[in-house]
This record gives sequence, C-alpha cells and structure tokens, in this order.
Amino acid sequence: MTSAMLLILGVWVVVLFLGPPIWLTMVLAGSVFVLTQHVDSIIIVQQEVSAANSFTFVAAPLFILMGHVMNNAGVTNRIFDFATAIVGWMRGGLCHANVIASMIFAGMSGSAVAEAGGLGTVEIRAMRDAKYPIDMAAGLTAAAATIGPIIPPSLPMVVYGAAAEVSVGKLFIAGVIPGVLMGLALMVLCSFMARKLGLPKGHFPTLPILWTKFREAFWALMTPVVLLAGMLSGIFTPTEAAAVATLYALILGLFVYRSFSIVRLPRLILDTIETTGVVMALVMAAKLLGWCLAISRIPQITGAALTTLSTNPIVYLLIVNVLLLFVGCFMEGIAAMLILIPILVPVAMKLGIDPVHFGLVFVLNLMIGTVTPPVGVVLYVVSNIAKISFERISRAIVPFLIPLLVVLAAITLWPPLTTWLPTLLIGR
Amino acid sequence: MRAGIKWAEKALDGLAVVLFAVMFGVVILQIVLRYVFNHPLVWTDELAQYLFVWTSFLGWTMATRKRIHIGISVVADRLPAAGRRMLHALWCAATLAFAIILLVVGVIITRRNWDVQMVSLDFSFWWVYLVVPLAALFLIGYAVRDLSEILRKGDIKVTEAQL
Repeated sequence: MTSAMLLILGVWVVVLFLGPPIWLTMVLAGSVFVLTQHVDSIIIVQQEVSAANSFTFVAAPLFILMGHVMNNAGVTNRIFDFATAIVGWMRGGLCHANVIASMIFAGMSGSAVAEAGGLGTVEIRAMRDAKYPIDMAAGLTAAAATIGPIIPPSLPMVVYGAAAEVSVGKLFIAGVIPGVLMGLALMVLCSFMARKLGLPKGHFPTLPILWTKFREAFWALMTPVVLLAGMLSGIFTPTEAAAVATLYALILGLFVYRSFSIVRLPRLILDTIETTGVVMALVMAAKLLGWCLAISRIPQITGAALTTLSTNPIVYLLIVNVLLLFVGCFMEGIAAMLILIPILVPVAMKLGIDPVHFGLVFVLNLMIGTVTPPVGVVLYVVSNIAKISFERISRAIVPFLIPLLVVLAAITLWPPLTTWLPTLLIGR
Repeated sequence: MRAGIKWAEKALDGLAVVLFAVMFGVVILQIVLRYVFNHPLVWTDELAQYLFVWTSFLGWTMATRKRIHIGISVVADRLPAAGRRMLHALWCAATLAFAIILLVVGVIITRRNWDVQMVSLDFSFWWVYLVVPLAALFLIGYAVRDLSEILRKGDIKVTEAQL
C-alpha cells in the first residue's frame, strides 16, 4: 500500500505542475489509490462530504460575504480618510495612512485579495493623485494587504484551523500581535523611504476635521470590535461571530451608509458561493488525499525522514519556513496549506511545537507567498489596479518583503508573540 | 437544449442563494433565541452544516462552469498553443472520468442513506448526500461542454479565482 501511494504521489507531483485544477489532481490521486488498493469506493464520497460537514467551515463563506459587503458598502473610503487624518501630516503621510487603513480593514476582511482589491483601489488612487511614485504605492499596498488574513477575521485561518484541528478562536487572537507588528515594521520602512525619496507631507489636521473623519468612520470601525468582543467574551463561536459581523456589515451598507441596495445582495451571495466552491473543492479533495496518505502511513515516513535531519524545534521551524516560502512562490496559499498540513503538522506536534504558534508561522509564510512572484495573487490584483506590468510590481515589492520577513523571523523564533495573547484571553 | 441548460443553471443558482440565505439565517436565529429568548434550539448548527455541504458542492460546480478553479499555471502558460490545447482537453477528460466516479458512488451512498436518520432533525441523511450525484451531473455537463468547445473553437479560456 505504501509503495503504491508513493508511486501515485510521484506521478501526482509531475501532473500538478502541468496546471490542471489542483482539486482534480488530488481527487484523481485519491481515486486511483482507492480503486487499485481494494478500499471500499464509498470512501471517495464519504471523505469529501465529511470535509464540508463541519460547523467551523460555515464561518468561511460568511467571512467571504462580509468582505464583499464591506468593499461594496463604501467603508473603504471612510477608513482611508480617517487614517489619513491621523497620520497624513507625517513625511510620506499617505504611506503611513495606507498601512494604518490596511490594519483597520484587516479587522473586517479575511483575505489579502479582498483587502488589495477593495481598499487598494482607494489607496493607490490617493497616492497617485498626491504624486507618490506609483511603483512604491503599488508595492506598499500589496505588502500591507497581507496583514488582512493575519489580523482577525481570516479565511486562511478558518481553513487551517478546520484542517489541522486547531481552535480557530485561538488562531484569530494569536494573529493580532503579528499583524500589528507587520504594520509597524512596514511603517518603519516607510519613514526611511519617505526621507530618502523626499515624499510630501500633508497638513496637520484640526480637531474638528479629526472629529468629523472619526465620526464618519465610526460605525465601520466598530466592526472589528463587535467581532472580537463577541468572540472573547465567549458569547459567540467564531462561526457565530462571522454571522453577526456579516449581518452588521449588511445593516451598515443597506441602512446606515445606504451605499448599496438589497437588489445587489443575490449577486454578492452568488460570488461568495463561487469563491466558497473554489476553496471547498480543494478542502474536500485534500481530505480524501489526506485519508489515503494516512492509511498508507506516508506522514510517519516523511515525519521520520524530517526528524532525522534534526529534532530541534527551531531547526524544524526554519526548514518549514524555507519550504513554505518556496512553495508559496509557485502555489496559491490555501491550496498549498491543504496539501502540506497532513505532512508538516504531525511532525511539529511530535517536536512539541505549540499548535497555535505553528499555525501562525504556517499562515504568515503562505500569505507572504501571495506577494512573491511568479505566482502571487495579490501582485496580480495590485498590478491591475495600479496599471503597471507584473514584472514592474515584482520588482517594486522587493523592499517591502523585508519588514514582512523580519516579522516572520520574529514570530518563528519567539513563540510568546503568538501564544501569549490567546493564552491570556482564552486560556489553554 | 441550450435553453434547457440555461434554465437548469438559473435554477441551480437560485437554489444555492436560497440555501445560503437559510444557512446564514439559521446561525443568526440560534444566537437570537439563545441570548434574547434564552431558549436555544438543538438543530440549528446541524442544519447549517448540511446546508453548507450543499453550498460547497453547488459552488464547486459553479466554479467549474466559470473555469476559475486554482491550478499551477506557470508551466502551461509557457507552452505553445497546441500543447496548451492538448493539456486542456486532457483535464476535461479527467474531470469527466472523476465526475462519472462521483455520480456512480454518489448514487450508491445516497441510496444507502435512505433510512439513516439525522442526529437532531427528523430527516433522512439521504437529503445531504443527494447533492453529490446532482453536482456530478453538472460536472459531467461542463466537462462535455468544454471538450466540445475545444474541438470546435480550438481551445477554452481558463482563469483563476482570486481568494
């Protein structure tokens, strides 16, 4: 059984790089295994259905819908204006505003693409109008968008939590400090670049202006508060928090800001279902393939191979970092996550690495992968918005990768950055 | 024929939106009943889960309809047109093969669950598995559509969803 599975995996890796839908390659590998190894073929459907039959996953489409609603509710402008009012007076103020707005919006959307596509449009327009270099605006916007899935809510963390059986609530809370650190690190870089490039300063805001901008953004700013307070007080599970926050976003868009009408809701829901379909086709296929791997003892074999290299958790984490950063250059994040979780997570548990810590390292690596060429979905989105070529943004992103990698190194090497807050607020 | 397909797709989209709305509503209902009326229901989470299974499978077919599933396109993008066309045809054939497996196994498992009760709802589990053969039928339809389009027009245009 084991050798059959290894053979199948060998073929599978080759086929994977020929570009078929990834779910298709996984279900075919699984089906070939099931049909040739005389396993009851019922398993194929059973595993697929059981993957989706999870209350945790119900949060995924709700967070996707919430992102769509927020981007359609005119919230992005208000948040960016508010951020500009706070830090616009600094040298290169719009760069700082960009990062601050990204951090705030990260508390309302769970995906880097939603963040780049929605808020990014506003940010790049403002920076272009203020004569900031367009390459810098684009690179910064892309890098800041990766904060989106680190600060809760987060679609990748829902998928990770459900697939690796880690508490989604803890993963969410664990993302707060790394997310804020990413923002701060980007702002430090912005200060240097602003001085070197001689970027403009904005006006110091008067108190009435600050107050107006705050009032205009207030209800939008309350979204993360509703979400986090509900989850932390134990009132809501992450899934329920997702539903409440989505309802809140709908009320905001439909009745408070009146920025879109209910007629558009079915279209937004259909888009959400399509995206959910893309994610869940992968989730379900990965469950089937993961089952086949487990029954043919592949995780034990690869685990043993990995631990012969070293049994030092730090060394293992560094190996995982290098591997994930490499994979993230070529593969979409959630797909890569689902393929690699059954291989990498058991070893981490055996070495005594905290599951929440490992989850954050895992997710941050693959989110950095969304801004690394040749395959970086956020780079595609931002190059479209900024109307610059993919090659150009691939160069423009380089300096902004440094702060992200510094934060990655920090959370890898110093676990309290990720484990302290969830332990404090939720407990063990 | 074409009108029939359009109608089936519209019906499927409508069904998916309704199921999604009910799933969303049921989660909200649970919260309201628990905190406002202090009277939680036992079946809401289970129902939301089953509706999500349906949403997932229906969304899967919709993503196949629009050809937006995630793949690694680095190599395929650099191939000459003829090579790309062959790969696309190959994937459609593979989708067709898997969809047929899904249909056959889906029907077997659906029938087996005819008299299996849900945990907290007074329905048969049959209803959950029913989406599998339904989705398989649509997948078969789209694989055939894509194959015939490759034969007629030379190739199909494949894009990728941005998650």
